Amino acid sequence: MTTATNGVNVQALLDAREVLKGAPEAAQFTWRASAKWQSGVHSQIKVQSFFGLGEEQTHKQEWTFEADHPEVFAAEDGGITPIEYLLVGLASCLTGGIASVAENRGIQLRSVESTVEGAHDIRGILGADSDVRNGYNDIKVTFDIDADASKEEIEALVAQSTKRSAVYDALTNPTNVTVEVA
Amino acid sequence: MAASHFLTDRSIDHVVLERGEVANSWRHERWDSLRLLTPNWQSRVPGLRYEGPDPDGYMTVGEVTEFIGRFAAASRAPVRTSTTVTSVRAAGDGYQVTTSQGEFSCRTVVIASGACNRPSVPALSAGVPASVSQVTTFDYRDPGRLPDGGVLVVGASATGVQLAAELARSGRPVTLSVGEHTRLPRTYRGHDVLWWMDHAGVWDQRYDELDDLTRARRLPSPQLVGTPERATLDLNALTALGVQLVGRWAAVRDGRALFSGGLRNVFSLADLKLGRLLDTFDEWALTSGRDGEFTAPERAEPTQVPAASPLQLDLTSGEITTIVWATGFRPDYSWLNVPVVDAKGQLEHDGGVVTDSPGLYALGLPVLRRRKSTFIYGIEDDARDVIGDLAKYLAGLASAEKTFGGLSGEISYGDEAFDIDPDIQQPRGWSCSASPLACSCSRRTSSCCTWAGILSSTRPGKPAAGQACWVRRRRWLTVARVSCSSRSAVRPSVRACLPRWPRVAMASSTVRAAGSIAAATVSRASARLRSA
Repeated sequence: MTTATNGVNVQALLDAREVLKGAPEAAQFTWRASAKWQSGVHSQIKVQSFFGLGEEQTHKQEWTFEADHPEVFAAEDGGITPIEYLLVGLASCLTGGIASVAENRGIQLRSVESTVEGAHDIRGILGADSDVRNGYNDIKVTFDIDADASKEEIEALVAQSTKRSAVYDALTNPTNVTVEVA
Repeated sequence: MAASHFLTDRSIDHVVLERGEVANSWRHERWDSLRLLTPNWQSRVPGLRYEGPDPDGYMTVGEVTEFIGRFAAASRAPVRTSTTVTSVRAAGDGYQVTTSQGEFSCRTVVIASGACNRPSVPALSAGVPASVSQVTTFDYRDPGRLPDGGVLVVGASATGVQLAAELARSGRPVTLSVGEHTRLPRTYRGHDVLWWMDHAGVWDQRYDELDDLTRARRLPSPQLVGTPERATLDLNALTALGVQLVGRWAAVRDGRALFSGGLRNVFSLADLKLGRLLDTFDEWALTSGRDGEFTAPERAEPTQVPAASPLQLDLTSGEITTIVWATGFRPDYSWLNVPVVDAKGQLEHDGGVVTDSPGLYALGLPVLRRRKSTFIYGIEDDARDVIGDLAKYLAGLASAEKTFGGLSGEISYGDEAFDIDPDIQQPRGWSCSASPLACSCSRRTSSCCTWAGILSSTRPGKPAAGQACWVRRRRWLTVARVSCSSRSAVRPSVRACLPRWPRVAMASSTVRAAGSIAAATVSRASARLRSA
């Protein structure tokens, strides 16, 4: 029994880990999003279904996201910029990981706040300088955590969460991406 | 040969089969400058210890070869050299062993071929352009034998950091690809770091005390080198030598090596882990009352993050002419025709006892029974224990044969331990009673056996006075004894008595598990996948 109550059902996750060790097929998930152009550079993205544990699954409801660009890009600002969604994903993934690791280690969290900053040279996407990459040059996440733990324990929480983060991995390691026309 | 020593002690007839000559891999599969990571005082095997003038030094490969040769001679082990085992298969009560020098039939086999039979090279090596030469630690001898030009060393464990340093000192541009690693100083508060680990009890930690045994068994070797100067060889030392650090090598794309951008986090993980280890040393110094003997506690500088670390290298530019794969080793069980090797190529065993194939044992694998299992000085305790189990198994076979029918006896099954939390995974059929300090459990399985066990309130070696069982997060159930009262339970060996209930318990608990991932769904899904 852990003494912390961060609201993460760690036992279910640990049990699932054991079960999936012997059933790697069931561990194969496919996440999906479908996007629809609205107008200008504004698109709307919907997320509901995914595949996992050997069958089709769905979120309890369909979630809708708006993506656009700010007015300084001469756009309507009908939603956040696509590259900002990467920051949303990274921050939420690391934060969820911190709660899970803390629960598993019996560390009670009181508050976990973070700011994520991505340094981006937009000359890349504008084609102004072919030596500049399109994506982020550097991303920095700064956590401010209040918990019943020493500074070292909190740093270890963050490091372990980072080590097991899907989004951190997707951002720091190359991934094969196929883009095609149906 | 350690197994041979204890078999001889027990007058059990045996042979030791060696594919080449004694200390073969030390003679033929290691690089020239290699020295042991362990100081000479730790070089001891049953009946033989280092008695030279430099107990704090580190043996060279030649000295290790000579030491093992002396062990073979002193123990008069019945070694058959130039005898390559090509097959081991189950046959009747025992095993049939086929070798380049003929056949052997035996009751038991001890696999002592170790975990480092083949260099482990990642699949992405296939995408490296042909213009770049690739060597593994089996081929590498010294910097002079590599083609001129820059070297990319892959892997930052003991091998990788040693070769990167040696190559940088030879004047070559060196890039080191760094994944997760274990950072250690060579000395701490005036003593070798291995002295601290030995005294603080780290090396004696048993395999059944560890939180995550799989992880402990996969742990890479620490960043250590044995040199007369007792110098620390961490990543900061390599940076000072001019070695360029890059992240874990993730992929090859269009002739370019792509590295992970996660270098900072692997530095943090290693630095934090080192801090925790040094804390345990300081704690031991205080509790043992010896704190005054040592210099003041110190903490290493954090690993310096390079100002600019490239995320890719063009392998076709000629900048890199050689890749040295220091990515570890894997065992080779291609000759073992018994289905006891898992999907990852590792032998399935419990403390060196291959429970799925009675009479089969292993020695010299990582954390076989203790953290020190793969150290020269660690083999003595493991070999004594495993050969003890082997002897009991042989005695069981013999007594079962003699008293066929109506056998009654006890099988001592060592320290079978499971990481079980009885609050959540109450093993079905067990009756347990709890006191403030310990729980004891017993279970009657059909008409066959009664298991008796002690459920410690905490991990062995860490008594928690006043701590109640049910407030601890982890519990260890040690089955001290299995008593059997029918012959069906004895043959074949203890297997019939051990229904491997940790897995059964796990299955029943997972069905109960509620939450974000319903494990029952997983079971259904996997059953469906299997039937598909």
